[in-house]
Parts: sequence; structure tokens; C-alpha cells
Amino acid sequence: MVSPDEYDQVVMAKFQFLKKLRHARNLFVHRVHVDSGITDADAIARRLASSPLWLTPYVVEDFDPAEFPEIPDADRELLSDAVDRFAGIARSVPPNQPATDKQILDATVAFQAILDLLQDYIERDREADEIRRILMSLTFPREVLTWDIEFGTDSTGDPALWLWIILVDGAADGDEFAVLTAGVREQIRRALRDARIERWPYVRFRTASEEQELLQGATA
Amino acid sequence: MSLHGDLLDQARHLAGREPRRPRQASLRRAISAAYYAVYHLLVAEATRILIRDSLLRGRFARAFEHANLKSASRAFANAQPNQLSKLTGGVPVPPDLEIVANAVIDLQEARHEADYNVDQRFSRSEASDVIAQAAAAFQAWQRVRNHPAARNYLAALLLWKQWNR
Repeated sequence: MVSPDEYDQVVMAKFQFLKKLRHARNLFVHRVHVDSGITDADAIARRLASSPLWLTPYVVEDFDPAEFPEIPDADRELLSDAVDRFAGIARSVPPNQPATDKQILDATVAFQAILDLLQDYIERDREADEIRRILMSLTFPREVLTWDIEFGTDSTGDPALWLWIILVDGAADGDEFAVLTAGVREQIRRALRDARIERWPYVRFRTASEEQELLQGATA
Repeated sequence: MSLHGDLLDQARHLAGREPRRPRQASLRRAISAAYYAVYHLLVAEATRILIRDSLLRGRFARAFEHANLKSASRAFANAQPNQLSKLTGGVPVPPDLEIVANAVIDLQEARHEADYNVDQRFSRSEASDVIAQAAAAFQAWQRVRNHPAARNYLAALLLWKQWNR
């Protein structure tokens, strides 16, 4: 029998694992349309810059198959296998170097398998799907790499959503940053308003490097 | 310099400290100061316009509530045509006033998270963005402050709850 402290630790680890998985899922899934005029070199640089945000061992470090006894044994084995493959690929990417095409491809297959097996744990509802559809239809400036989203109520109890826009490194330097963030924020606000979404959008901005640092710092 | 101007300067100073690895405390206080810069700008303007006796302005300034600021700002940020007569006497809300109202809502929530949510970590870009929003609100306010809708907005910041009983 587990003690209350042990039980809390187990629940927290599972909670942390699923929280990181949702976060990585968002960064992985939310490919963005960007302004026209982007070159092939830009496209490659963008893909390389965004891959470390979800292709990192931190995403699955809290996984313990024993915390998912409700999953049928065969699926749990598939899940463990996919997590091991993903973690192995993520660990093989040298620090401060982009992943190779093969690493990204193999990790994508493993990550997609994890998401498929755990789809019941990743919240989905009609409103969230509608908001994702609206946001994924927008054409963002080329500095935008990807985005993460959370739903909840704000400090005064009103329905809200938080959007973290991940930018290429360097986009936060200089006077143009304020113009960029104001433009993206207004673009999102207008799109949601036109769709009669009443949740207030709190739009925040981070660079890819900051996102990585915060993810690693949160687990240190 | 004014209190609100000093607070905006202080926010910039705090966000720029520790160039390599900013401390969370510096970023959190920068975000908080940016919100209070806008808060005190609007409170100073409201009391200046609404309270003729300068000796009483400080007392009235203490009557502003953050919840009223947010509720009034939400109404002005996204005013529907059928609400205009109540909000502004029928005058459309100018875009600059929408910038100010949006900033109040965004910065107030950011301030709340920065001051109380110890689970959340902040980046320098987030703090810089919050400060840029505050600075944009300052500039927008200077352009719109004499507009009739702006005066209604200032009154709403103080009296929103009473108007909606």
C-alpha cells in the first residue's frame, strides 16, 4: 500500500508528464502559415529552430508506465516503446545543434504514436477545436515559429485563453519587437472577435531559446 | 517626473537588468511596475478631470478598484453598437482608446500572474512585450485623452460597478 506522500508523488508525476506532453503536442502540431516571400533557406532554418522545442527528453522524463494501469497491457507496452524511442532520439540530438532530418522524422513517428495512444488524456472539446482552427488559418509574420495554448479562467474568474507565441531568436531585439507583438496580438484578437469567441485572449511572446530555457529550468 | 512615468522607467530598468540570465524577481517586478504605470496614469487623469479640488484628488484616487478597471475596459475594448449610447453617449470608441482598454486588461492579468503565480516562469521577451504594451497605451492615451469617449471611459473606471447595479 502506498503512503499518502507516495500517492501524491505518483499523481504529480503523471500530471507533470501529461502537462509537458500537451505543451509539446501544441508546439508540434501548431505549424504556422507565414508571410509570402519566405525562401527555402528560411524554411529550413525555421524547421530546425522549432524542432528542439518538442524534440527534447524533458517531454517524457516523468513517464512511468505503472502510472497508467487503466490502459490495456498491449497498448501500455506500445506506449512504453514509443516513449523509449522518442527519448532515445531526443537524447541523441547534440546540445546546441539542430536535429537531422532523419532524427526529426523518426521522432515524429514515435511522438505521433504517443499522442495517438494517449489521445483520451489530451483535452479536446468543440470550443478548443474551433479556436485552434481559427488560429491555424491565420497567416503570421515570418518571425512566428509556432504557438502553445491553454484554456482556463483568469484572475477575476472570466473565461480566457493564453496563447504563447514562439518567435525566432533575434525577433525580440530592437524597436521592431513592439510593432511585431502589437500586430500579432491585434490579428488574433480580431480573428477571435469576428468568430464571436468570448474568451479573452491573453497573448504572450517568447523566443525559441527562451522557451527551451524555461522548459529546462522548470524541470531542474 | 510623474509617478506613472517613473513606474514605466522602473519597469524598463528592471527588465534590462542581468543581461545574460535575468532573475525571475526582476522580470516579475518589471511586469508589475508596467501595469501600475498604466493604472496610475489613468487614475491621475481621471481625478484631474473629475475632481476640481486638487486637495481631494488623492482621496478619490484611492477609490479606484482593479476589478472596475477591468470590467470597464472590457466594455470599451469591444464596444458593440447597441452599447455605445450607454458607454459614450453614442460616440464610437476611437481605436486609440481600444488600445488603452486592451492594455489595461492584458497588463492587469500579467501583473496578477507575476505577483502571485510562483509556478509560472517569465522570459525577458514577455516582460519587454508587457512594457511595450504599457508604452503604447501611454502614447495612445496622449492622442485620445481629449476625446469625449475617453472622458466617459475615465468615469467608467471609477463608477462601473455603481452604473451596472
